[in-house]
Amino acid sequence: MDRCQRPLIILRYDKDVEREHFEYQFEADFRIIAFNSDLAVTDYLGQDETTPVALCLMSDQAGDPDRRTLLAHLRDRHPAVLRVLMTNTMPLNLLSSMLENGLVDRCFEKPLNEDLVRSHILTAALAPALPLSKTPDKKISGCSGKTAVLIVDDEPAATHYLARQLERLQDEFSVICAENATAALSQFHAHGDRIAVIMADQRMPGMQGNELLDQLKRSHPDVVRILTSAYGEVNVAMDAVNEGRIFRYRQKPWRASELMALFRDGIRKHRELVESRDRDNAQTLSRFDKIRARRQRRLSQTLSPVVDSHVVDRFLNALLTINTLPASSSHLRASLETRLESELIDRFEHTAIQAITLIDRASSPARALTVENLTHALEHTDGSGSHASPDSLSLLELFAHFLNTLLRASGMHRSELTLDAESSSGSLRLFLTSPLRIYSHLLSPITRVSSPLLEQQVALLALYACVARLSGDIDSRGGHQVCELCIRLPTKTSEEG
Amino acid sequence: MKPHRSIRLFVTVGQRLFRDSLLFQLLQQDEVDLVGESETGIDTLNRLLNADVNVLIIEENLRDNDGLTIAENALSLCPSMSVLLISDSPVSASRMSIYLEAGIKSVVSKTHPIQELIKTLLYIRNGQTYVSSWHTHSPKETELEAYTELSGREREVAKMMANRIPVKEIAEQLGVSCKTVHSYKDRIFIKLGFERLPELILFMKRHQNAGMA
Repeated sequence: MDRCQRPLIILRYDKDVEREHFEYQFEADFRIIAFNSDLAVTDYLGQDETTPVALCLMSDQAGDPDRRTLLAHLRDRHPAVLRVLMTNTMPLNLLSSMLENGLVDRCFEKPLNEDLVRSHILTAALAPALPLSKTPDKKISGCSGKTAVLIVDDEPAATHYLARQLERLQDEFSVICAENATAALSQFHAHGDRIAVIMADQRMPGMQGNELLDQLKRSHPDVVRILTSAYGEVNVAMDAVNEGRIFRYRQKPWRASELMALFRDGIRKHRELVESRDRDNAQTLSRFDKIRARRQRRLSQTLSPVVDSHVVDRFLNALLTINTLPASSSHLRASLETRLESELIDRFEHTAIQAITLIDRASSPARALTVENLTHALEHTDGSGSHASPDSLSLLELFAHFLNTLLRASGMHRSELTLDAESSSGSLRLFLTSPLRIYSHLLSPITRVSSPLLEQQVALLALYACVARLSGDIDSRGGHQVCELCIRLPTKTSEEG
Repeated sequence: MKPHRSIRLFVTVGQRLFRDSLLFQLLQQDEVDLVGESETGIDTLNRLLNADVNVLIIEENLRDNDGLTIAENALSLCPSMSVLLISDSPVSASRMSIYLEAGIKSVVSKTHPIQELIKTLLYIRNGQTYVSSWHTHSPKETELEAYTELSGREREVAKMMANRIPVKEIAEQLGVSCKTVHSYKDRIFIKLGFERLPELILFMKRHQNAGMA
């Protein structure tokens, strides 16, 4: 990722003094190539040179038609390049028209906030999309009922009138109104899957429009967001544009005919977003399935020389029943672009073999298997391991040791463990009053090999191995991020020693 | 301008001493309100939903689970929350892009000064992503540079303030008015980029004892 070491950016400037200042501010972070004519920029981009992360256009006349031509050229020919406009003052109507035409991605007024500019460009440099194939997926997300547009404004009389007017004009979408942000959020609760577009007024009592849209951007990223205001708050609008919070900015007063076109565009955009999300999700899941299958094979192969294949199979199958969060692009990136996969196998193998060797070497329990003996062993091997080193533990103590480790690494306490003697079947039964919470495991999507993960997983494998040697049985039932464990151990061991 | 929303902060940090030190600093910011704290990932997930949190600061290395795994789960419960991850050491560009893709808003390493964490917290509070420079100039150098730009009088005042001498007494000793001392004080803070007296005290002690002053 040397692109990220010092990302390349192009600066289009008018005055030398501005270029010097810009270079002074940013040359530690970016490789800057500066041009003082539009032609030189397009020439440079036309060559087969490294594609820059961003074009920073420093201009006193942001609305200059030549600037627009340059920005449009980049939009059409080099869409991957972030278009950053830096200007003295940005008129609101210009910003809103540039947004509508997709001319700018980021806009900053001078004096520049160095931290923010740097952060935006570095973020863009860090986030090149994973190459997913663009084959269209036929599946279309089902949504119940008619598509809806939600208008949030604290003048209910005006919005209701507008809503009726809009509904009379067309039959494609219905219009829902809310008087404030709280009401809007409850509309999402009720009709979340129908709402395609939201238009919110900036100035409302309580939560402001931009805050509402910001929250929705994160909770409902497919809903197309439009901000509107009767006041010319260019800072709010610029901030919303820079944060990718809004699709359009519309100044009041509204006209129904204009809004019709706007909402139709919004609904079209919403459909594109939903389709691309579904397609990306489906591809991410199927790519992770392949990663998982390979990981499972490699684990079985690695463990087979040291661990009974029956034990390995039962352990891995138990894991497969535990559902965690679905794979996302961050998981794919970690598995495909870092050493994660081999690190996971290597570190697990190393720790697992140590544990299994201890179990193989351990002496059979000298004392009969009773609730008291097991309780004692659990206390003896609790936590810090200051009582005895695992090397000198008996099989029963090792079993207790790994059970303690499993609980600790899963954020649980020994008090949540129940021990029963079942005299009828001559066995001891151990179970947890609440299930183990498992947020990631060896076969789930992960982004990092952490010590608690390894400890927990090795402890679970070790428990399977101990129980097999003690001729007992583990019953595991996986669920959503949980695993219920019930272990039975015969009180009279028939273990061969 | 519109007032900023307050930061309803939840902090998950394993070690008490580290957590306390962080909170002492963060709670000095007017907008910051502490709505919960925890030592472990599982406990964090149990309590997060009821706490109406808008920023979660969580350590990458926890006693149970992995900070990022917990953060991903926390985000699936409260998608409108901003997460700031604290790593043990500065993260590489490829790790950083994994974090951003997972929905983390920023990563601050334990090797950074506290001012960096506060600045980052203020940037991410509204859901903004914040990536700071890879090439941080050593803060020590920038501060030292700023210190050399103080005038003789300003240095004198800075030293006295660091010794906790009250403004009135400083004014008497220098034979100037309290108002003048206050304007020296303001200038010192602006030049050094500090906001509070404890920062100045720490800076002066560090450098006085290193033979700077």
